[in-house]
Amino acid sequence: MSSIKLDNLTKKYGEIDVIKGVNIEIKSGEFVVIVGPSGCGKSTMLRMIAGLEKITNGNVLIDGKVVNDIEPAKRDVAMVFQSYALYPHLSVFENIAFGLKIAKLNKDLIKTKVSQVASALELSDQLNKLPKQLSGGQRQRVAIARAMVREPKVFLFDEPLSNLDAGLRVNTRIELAKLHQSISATMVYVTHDQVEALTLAEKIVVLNEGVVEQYGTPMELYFKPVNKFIAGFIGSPKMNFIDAKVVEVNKKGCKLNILDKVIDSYFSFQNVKCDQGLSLGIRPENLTVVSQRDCLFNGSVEIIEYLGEYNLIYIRIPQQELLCIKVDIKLSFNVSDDVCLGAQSENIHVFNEDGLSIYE
Amino acid sequence: MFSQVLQSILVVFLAVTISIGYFVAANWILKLWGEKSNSSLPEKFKPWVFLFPALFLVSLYLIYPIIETVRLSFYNNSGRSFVGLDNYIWLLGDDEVKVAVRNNFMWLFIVPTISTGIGLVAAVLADRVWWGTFAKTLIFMPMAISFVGASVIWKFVYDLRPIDVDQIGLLNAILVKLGSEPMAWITIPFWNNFFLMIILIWIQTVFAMVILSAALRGLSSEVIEASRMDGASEFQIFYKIMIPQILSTIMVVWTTITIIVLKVFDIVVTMTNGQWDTGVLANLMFNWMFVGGDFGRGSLIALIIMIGVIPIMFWNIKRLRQEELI
Repeated sequence: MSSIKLDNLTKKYGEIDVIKGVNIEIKSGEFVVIVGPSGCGKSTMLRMIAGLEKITNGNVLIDGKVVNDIEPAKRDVAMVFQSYALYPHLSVFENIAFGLKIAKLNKDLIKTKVSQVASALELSDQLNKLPKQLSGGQRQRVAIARAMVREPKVFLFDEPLSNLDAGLRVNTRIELAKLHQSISATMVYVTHDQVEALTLAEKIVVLNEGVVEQYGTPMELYFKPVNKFIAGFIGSPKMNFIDAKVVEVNKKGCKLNILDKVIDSYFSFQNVKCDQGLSLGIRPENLTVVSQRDCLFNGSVEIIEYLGEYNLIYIRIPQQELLCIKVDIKLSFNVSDDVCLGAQSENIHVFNEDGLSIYE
Repeated sequence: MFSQVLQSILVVFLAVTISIGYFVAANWILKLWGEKSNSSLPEKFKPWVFLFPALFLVSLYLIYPIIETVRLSFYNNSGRSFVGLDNYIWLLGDDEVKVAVRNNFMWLFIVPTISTGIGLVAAVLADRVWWGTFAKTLIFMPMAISFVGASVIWKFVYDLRPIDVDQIGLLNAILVKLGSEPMAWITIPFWNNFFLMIILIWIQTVFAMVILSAALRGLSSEVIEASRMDGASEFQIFYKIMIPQILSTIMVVWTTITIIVLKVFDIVVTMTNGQWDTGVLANLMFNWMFVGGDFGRGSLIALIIMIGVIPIMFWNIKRLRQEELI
């Protein structure tokens, strides 16, 4: 177990900035997921922690020690690659034992360690097989076993589930969560899948174009996104955004003009000025079909998706993107029905012109 | 000139017409036969009908000459009267043959090994330096030169002039500059073999480098990074991770060069014509068969070369089959 600190970490490829001064502290034993759209630099960041990528500027500290110029193997970190990166010419046993053999450990000790890890990951029967004789899930487990057997202080995962099919992905996700509980090592996990991030992480780093947009617990990111990017990125289906304008500010709050209609009731947010343009964010599960009296805006049903547990209804509103709402299966709708939509005031996220959150 | 072109076109046209005609006719006959006899015999016959042209041509140009060579090896120089094992007895006792066999073994061992070795190192190193592409282009040049052309170039390298004349040979020019006597390189017994081998190594290294370079590029970079994470040094990555993964390619390169070496002929003819104990079997065969006009002994030496190639071919095919099985 050990802590990791990224101190103004910067990476340039020639003139292109990939990582633009990242500052993050990861506590010992924490499971941190780095998530972001493709090309945001998340894998590069992980590879810099691993030592596979040179650092242009700033520092990587493990247990308070700068490791910038220390060889990957001597950083006491292990990595699980997206392609698993198993040694194709070596048996499962030799794959797992490779690092230990390089470290010149005693043969009997290697055997014990490998068989312990193999039995923990249900690989005991596969030890003599070659990687190509294994299924995707088994290869994945060999890759994890190879990382585990060295008992590193830090585990790094680079999109380890993206090559698995959907069912296996869920299983392996649960296995990984269990693994973290049992060995309680520090883990850094990179993914582009926000479901993986929300389910696995104790803390999430959202990276966008080489900049950390927000670093916090899954709940913080979900309920208190700092900006529009986070709000739209975390949560599925994604948050709806509607343009609005402040028309009146007084002690009771403010009055808004939403889609050319001034709403009668007062909204409780402060820190806004008259005539300021806002963007209102409402998650599909918080946007509901309401009576005319509570109506914020109305539109017509365009697409209905039946998902069994609930239905998703996409609603067309003039000059806006399609809005998505999550509704109970008992409510029935038809295409081109006119609906009134509303939301509880506490479930509305408000963003200013710069896309930053405004909270009370 | 014009009539020759016309003739070639005619031959091509005829060959294609005959092939298509054979196919159509065979199909038609088999179909007719099948309709009339109502048995499965035509179906069983079908593969053989289509295999026949290939089998026939292979027999005519490969099997028949082998049988004829074996027959000739028991006959005298004119190939007319049977002499029993006389040629074989001569072969076992002849000094020139012994030297040629020894030389062939040296060529067989040294040329493929060094070519593959240098080719591998060049392939690995060229990927690591910024001028790698330039280096590869430079190494690639000899590939475009024929064996005879290469031999002529190297003849100049080894060239000898009297000491009071300017040396045009590179090696002797260096020697004379350093104050030594110029040497007749290709007449130095035993070592002159190596001076000839260098020519083939010079050419074949390229082949090895090109093929191995492609194989190395096919390796996953994540696997190499994984071994780096596991603590392997650059050298350990090379021989524990990279080499085992391209081993089958290395063997293909090695055997391909081996087969080329077994057929080596032009270099020896151009450089020494087998003088000063540099003869090899192919060279000896040519001299007996076409210079000396002895069909019996020439055929026997040809047989020896063929027998030498068989184990390598056999092993090569076996390996190929194994790989297909996996």
